[in-house]
Amino acid sequence: MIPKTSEKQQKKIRDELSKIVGEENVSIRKNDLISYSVDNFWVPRHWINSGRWPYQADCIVYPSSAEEVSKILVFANENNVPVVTWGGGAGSQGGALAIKGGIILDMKRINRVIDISETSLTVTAQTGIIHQDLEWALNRKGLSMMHYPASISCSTLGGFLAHRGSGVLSTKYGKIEEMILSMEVVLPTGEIIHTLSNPRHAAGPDLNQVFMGSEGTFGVMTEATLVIHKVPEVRRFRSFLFRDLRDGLEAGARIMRGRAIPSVIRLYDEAETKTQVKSVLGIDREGSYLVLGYEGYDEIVKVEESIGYRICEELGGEDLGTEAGQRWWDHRYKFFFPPYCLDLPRLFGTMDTVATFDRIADVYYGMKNAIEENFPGTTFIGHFSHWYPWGAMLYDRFIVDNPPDDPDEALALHNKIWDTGVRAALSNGGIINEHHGIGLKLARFMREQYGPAFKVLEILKKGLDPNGIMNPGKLGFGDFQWK
Amino acid sequence: MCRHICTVGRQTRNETDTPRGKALNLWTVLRGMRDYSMEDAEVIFRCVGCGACKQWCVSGYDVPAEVEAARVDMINVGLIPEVVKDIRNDILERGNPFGKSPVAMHDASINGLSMGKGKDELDVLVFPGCEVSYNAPEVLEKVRRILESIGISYAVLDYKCCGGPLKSLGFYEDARKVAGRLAVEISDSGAKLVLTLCPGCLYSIKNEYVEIGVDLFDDIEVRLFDEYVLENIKSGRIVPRECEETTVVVHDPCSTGRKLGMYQLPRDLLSGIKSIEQVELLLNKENSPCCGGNVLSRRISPKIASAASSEILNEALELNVKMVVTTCPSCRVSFNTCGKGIRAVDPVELIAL
Repeated sequence: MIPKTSEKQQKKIRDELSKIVGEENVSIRKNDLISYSVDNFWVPRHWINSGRWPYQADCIVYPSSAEEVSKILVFANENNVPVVTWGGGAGSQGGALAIKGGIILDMKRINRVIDISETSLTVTAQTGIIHQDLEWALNRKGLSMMHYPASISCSTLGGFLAHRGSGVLSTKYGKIEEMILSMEVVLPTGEIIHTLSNPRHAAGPDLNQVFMGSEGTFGVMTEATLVIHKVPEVRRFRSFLFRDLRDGLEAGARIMRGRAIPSVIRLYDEAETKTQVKSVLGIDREGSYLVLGYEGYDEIVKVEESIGYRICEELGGEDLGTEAGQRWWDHRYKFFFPPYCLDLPRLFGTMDTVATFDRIADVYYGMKNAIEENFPGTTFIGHFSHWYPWGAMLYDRFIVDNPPDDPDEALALHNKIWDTGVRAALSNGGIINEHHGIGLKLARFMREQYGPAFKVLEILKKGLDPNGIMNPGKLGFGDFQWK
Repeated sequence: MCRHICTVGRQTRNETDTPRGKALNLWTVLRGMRDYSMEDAEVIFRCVGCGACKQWCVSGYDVPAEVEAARVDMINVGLIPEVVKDIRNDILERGNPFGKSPVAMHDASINGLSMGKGKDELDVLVFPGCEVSYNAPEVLEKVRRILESIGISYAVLDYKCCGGPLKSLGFYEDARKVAGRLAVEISDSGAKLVLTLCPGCLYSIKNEYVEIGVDLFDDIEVRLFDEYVLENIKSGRIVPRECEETTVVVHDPCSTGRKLGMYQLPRDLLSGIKSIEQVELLLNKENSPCCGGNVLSRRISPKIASAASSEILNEALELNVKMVVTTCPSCRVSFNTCGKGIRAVDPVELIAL
């Protein structure tokens, strides 16, 4: 908390912050503190829905440059004030919540597109830009980042970098950590640094990857240069229905090992096919629904399609045609918004994980059995949305239709289910998260996940942030107890 | 999917100004966690009502309606920002939301027809609205020339407020009275066709009067002047002459666009004029961003209005167009006063007779 030794001391802190960013860019208005107390994590949403106040910052600060961020962090260190970086506040892991009070740094004034290079196919932008704005700036030149997450309209570039985010076309274009060339970072002690101009060097470890995924605990990313693409000549989709998930998983694995890489493989388990695919797309079938997408030059896409479709047919996939596939693309974000998405008053969570092909089926069934056996009445559904030549990502969710009314009981049940699901993933060879990040929700699993290797992260944290002011309690650093 | 397109949120960069932030805060009041505050009122009355959020929302939430309902609540508990009180008083006492002194803006004796006389000879009643009357009289001059060129006998209604801004602010009783006065004036004119120069007025008359309990006269047709012109171009009654070659971009206003659905109107009007080339903004038609500059928002949040308009004009400048064409006089005024140096006109202004 900002030291509450006196009202005078608090005012002094706000006055100092006002000198850095201007008085109009420091807010202690009640409605602002409320707006910044809820992200997309189930717990604060449930709390505020139930009439309980979530954790709030002491003030919201709106810097307009890396230099202002630097001065704020220097000041925060001198006064032992926690600092939480806020992009769009759309994260699902509680990463942007000010659980120890202090300052929330809303980055959205640092939002310019600095340069678009059609020669190198790169874009340099400030990290507070809402991703849809960045995409539109590129679209005006016939270009795209090909990074299409469902949160494109409410998340910032910095948020994706901080949590190692992913979009629907990641199978072809990669996750965000594969798109980065270089970045500007303000260290917790105020230095403004730049990583090397591109990561394909042999000049030591790649510093981009130190800061990506650090979720605001190692510093504040303020600018990034990333790879972009020309909009493809053709983009096509087709759907198949498999008898069961195992056949679909085998199809996906063979396609990825076959090296004719699609832009999309989206495979729904039987439960999601019966529920989500039916409600959003209107396709009412039993089995495991698969969408395949390809894009690029028409001649190349035709060859890639023929390879992928042949593999699906060999494994008994029923061809549902291009219209069904195109419908998925046209409605791809609807799955994640009301009324189609999971929402309060239900208790739910997304336990995404990733594993190699020889383990991913065990991860899925291990988690499913663990959740459904230990929590009768809880539903487990999943789809596989991001694929790699060596494995796949599972986007699975648990759903409790009628959780306890009492927020503390609901939270206890929430945490028990997460413990069970995550440990089932770990014991079968999965990792605790694939593209949503760790935040607050999964912080308690980080030491278990990394084992002795966590020491490396701890040393980095201690060296970069000696006073522990940056996003305390997140990513496994620092202690936190629910109030 | 609304935070990226929220006209106010884009400029203030404050989560509280976005539809999500507004909804979250309203929830805490509805849930009984706290009372409304003047800080809430400032946010709620700052909303420009553009409906872009509603357009983009995949969940079907009608945020503008919720904001209007919240305004009514706040008025009921006396939480009204000073500028909003001033606007209300100016409409009620001076007849306009700009705070300007009321003047008789129009000569009610046109072509020998005065208001209330020669009813059978009146083809059309022109209702300019506040924006054209006070801030863009040159548009009315063009309207007169067009009507006279095709021999239409018309009168111009001396300015009265349509009531729409008052309803939008949540002053329903005031809106009903003001709108009621306009309805009587129109009825007394004897005209069976009313042409309004403001799509905001048109939307209020056709869609909102019934909500606030104002009866509209079944045998009187109310249309947008631009629509009437297009109809006369298509029938051959108006033949636009070729004008200087120019490239323009169409901006779709919230009122003509999202509210009235008239997306083709300006495009068809321009197609009827030789030597005009049209290009499109990346975000157009139902996805068009708001200029931020309606009659209320330019007074409540002038910086936001100017910044929102500038953002649209920046793209127009990159497209190297000479003009921005818009069927809404408020967009026209906002674009022409935000200092970007590119001219905004109504499509009928490009018709050379």
